[in-house]
Amino acid sequence: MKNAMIRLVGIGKHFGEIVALDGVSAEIRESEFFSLLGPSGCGKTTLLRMIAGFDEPSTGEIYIDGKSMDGVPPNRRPTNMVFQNYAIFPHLNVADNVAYGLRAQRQAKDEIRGQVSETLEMVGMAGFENRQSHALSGGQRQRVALARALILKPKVLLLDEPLSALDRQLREQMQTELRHLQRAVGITFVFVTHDQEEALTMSDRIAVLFDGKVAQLDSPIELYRRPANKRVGEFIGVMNFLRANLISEFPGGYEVDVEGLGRVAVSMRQAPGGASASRLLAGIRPEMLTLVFDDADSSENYAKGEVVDTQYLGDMTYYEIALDGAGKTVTLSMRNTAGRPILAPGTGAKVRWTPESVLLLN
Amino acid sequence: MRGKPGALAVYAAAFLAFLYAPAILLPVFAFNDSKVIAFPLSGFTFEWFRQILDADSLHDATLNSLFIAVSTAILATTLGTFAARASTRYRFPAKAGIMGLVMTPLVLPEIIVGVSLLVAILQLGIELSLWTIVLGHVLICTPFSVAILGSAFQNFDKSLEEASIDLGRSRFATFRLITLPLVLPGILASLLVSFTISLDEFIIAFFLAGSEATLPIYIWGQLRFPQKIPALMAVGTVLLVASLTLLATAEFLRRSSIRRTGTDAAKGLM
Amino acid sequence: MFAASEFSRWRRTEGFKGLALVSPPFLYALAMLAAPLAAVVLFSFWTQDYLTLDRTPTWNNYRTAWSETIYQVLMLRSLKISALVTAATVLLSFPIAYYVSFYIDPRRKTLWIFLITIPFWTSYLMRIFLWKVILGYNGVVNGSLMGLGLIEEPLTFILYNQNAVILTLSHAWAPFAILPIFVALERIDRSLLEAAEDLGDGPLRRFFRVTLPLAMPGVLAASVIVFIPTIGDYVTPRLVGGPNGLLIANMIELQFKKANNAPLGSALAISAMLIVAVISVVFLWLNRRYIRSRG
Repeated sequence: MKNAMIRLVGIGKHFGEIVALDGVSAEIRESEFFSLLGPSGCGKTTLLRMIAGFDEPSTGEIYIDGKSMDGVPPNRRPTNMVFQNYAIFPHLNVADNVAYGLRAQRQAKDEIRGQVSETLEMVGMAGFENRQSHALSGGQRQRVALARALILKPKVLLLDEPLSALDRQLREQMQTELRHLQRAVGITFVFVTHDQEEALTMSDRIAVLFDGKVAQLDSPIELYRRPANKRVGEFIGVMNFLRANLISEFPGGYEVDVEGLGRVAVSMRQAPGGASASRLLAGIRPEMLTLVFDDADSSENYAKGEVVDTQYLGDMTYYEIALDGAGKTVTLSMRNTAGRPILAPGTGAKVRWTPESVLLLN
Repeated sequence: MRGKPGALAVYAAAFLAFLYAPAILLPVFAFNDSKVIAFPLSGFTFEWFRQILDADSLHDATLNSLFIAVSTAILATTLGTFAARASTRYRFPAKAGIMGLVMTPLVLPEIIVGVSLLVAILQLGIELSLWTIVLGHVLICTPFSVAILGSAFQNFDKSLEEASIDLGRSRFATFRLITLPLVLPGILASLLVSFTISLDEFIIAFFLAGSEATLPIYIWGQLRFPQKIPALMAVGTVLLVASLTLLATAEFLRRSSIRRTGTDAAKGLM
Repeated sequence: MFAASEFSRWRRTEGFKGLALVSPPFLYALAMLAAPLAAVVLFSFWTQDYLTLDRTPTWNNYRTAWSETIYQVLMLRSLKISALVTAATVLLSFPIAYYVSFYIDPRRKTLWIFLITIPFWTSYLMRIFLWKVILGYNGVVNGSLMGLGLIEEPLTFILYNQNAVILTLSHAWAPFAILPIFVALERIDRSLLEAAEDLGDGPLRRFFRVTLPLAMPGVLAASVIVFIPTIGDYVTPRLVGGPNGLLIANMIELQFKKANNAPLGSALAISAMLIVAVISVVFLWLNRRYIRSRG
């Protein structure tokens, strides 16, 4: 396992009565693409600004590369930042913006010029040295901001929702480019976003923040497959929640009664929070439910219901299905393969599921 | 929304005529070939402007006023920069009270400012001089500077400074390389407005002046002598043209700052 | 050790940085405004006999300032004139601010505001003197009226009296009244007016029920900005006021300069300031209550 590049130990921040961060502890590893994901106001930007040194934690300590950052101003930290609005200096041209940090280090002019053009080439902006900054497009500004930070070869690059101002097509292109860039330079990236899809596609690991606390810190796959609680489950992707009652506990798992599905045996791995609460929920992703068109299917795990609504999306079809014996509908998604029919609302439906795809949540 | 402005437009024209009446008469009598300031006009002359060139005491007063106005502009703008920056960038204890005190001279009768400074200065045994006038003028110009610079700083994107510090620069270098160039038009506007206010200020200067007169004090002294008045009209005309040139420059700088940074550096002027 | 790190943490807080930054202008205002004002208050309780100063505290200056007829008359006259100047300035300024805000092309509003402020940059003393020229016996007004045959004799009631003081001061303070009213009118969301119209208000009712109440903060600011400083002007009454147009500020100036009685001058200045401050506060309070009772 790689070493910890950033260690956050019990970070708290309050503004008067308002608690912005509440005892956040985490380790961010060397050379990893790490995302801070959460809804607006969850404290993710505050945390990023503390790592950069713009805000002081009220409690707790931040270590970067093993050194405590207490009292270390932003200009002395081995971090650089790409700001949400890019903060391109409006009175300087592209080359002067990119060279801004190097000039503080008193290097030779030729040396600086060489590094500037090298870095601009790396972000795909070769030849833009003399462009005035107000003549840049949104995507170009972002690249200049990246070059300006990366030229200093920081140990950590901090990115504060850098893609939120771009239109969708450009955003998707930049996601790929950022990922490639990170692999190429091998610098630790800490990326703040409220877009779960963006976090899933780009990150090695993600910390999900709710109300100033880390709700879960995991790889994208683990986050999606085994969310720690209902809130994480519904924030990342779509998840159906059905009421469940504990019937018995056996070595290595639980047997529960789930509305609409019936009796289900789940392993300990499928119950991240145990089964201690009186009100349990069974969570299941839409793609883990399958419509069965073939009556001869012999699987025993199926439920009956009726299609309430059909949303046809081209490659996929989403169904709202009212399961017999369940209080609410579930969402189900089917890939539209050749010859597969599309069911109209009102049609009876047979839904297959596997016990392994059911998650028990408190 | 837009009705017919008819009556209002007529009123606006009349009001502007009322506002401009004295300003328009100033050059009219400055070029009028008569010792009496009255209609009908008797002819065109440069005599009164020629007299300006010969009046030594006028030259001394002008130099004194320029010294005071330049000192005031620099000091008031420096203090205004501190206050505007603190009030737009930070929350600190007793902010409203502190900023209130700094801005008070804006609504205080000038005679109170003059009288209280006079009392304090005499009690401390300090002799009245041009510098004592500067003290008073800095006090009344600082609020204008805070208003002008306040809006310049308000529109200034904070993340530009953070980016500079993040890229390894000190706070001072950041101010010199980023903040100052971007708010420079606002600072120049503040310098010009302070300069113009100080140059024309009479009420406070009259209390705080020692033996050396300022331009307005000189004018006040000359107003008693009817034969001197045509020359005063010429002085007034020169002052008006100078003030307008300075203000037009300030306005030009404001606009160029909007163009350059997308921020309105001198909105506080209004 | 713990205290030291607490202190170093506090030194890095926003509050400390803000206080450190604001301290130069704040200390300047304390030294040049607050302390001198305190000195004036102190002075007003002392006694001066030519050049000797008696520092025994006494109410005598205030007794004189509040009881002797001459000071009473001047104070009341000053308040009356300041009030009239305020009313005249605000009433004359409102229509022009309204016109610029509602009828001028947005791109040309700045130009109009600039136009309105230009005369203000004419030399203050010359401006007052020129009103003397305009209103005088052989002045512009009389000359034109006689030239047109409207009057036989020059009008004498227009100069060297309180009317002239009011006119001159209103002229001088007009830009200070127009700007806050204009700003308040500019802030009014135009869709509110359309909503009022849509709900059945005619132009007049709409003006009194929507526009005016929303512009009130600007009107109040203008009133206070004009009312308070005019009490301190001693130049205008001296130049155009004549013997019956002299005001309390002239008396304050006289006490400090020629009469060499700074303590009495201080008592007069403090009294005048207190009175205008109290009037302004009551005025603002009444208006706020009025607006709240309607809101």
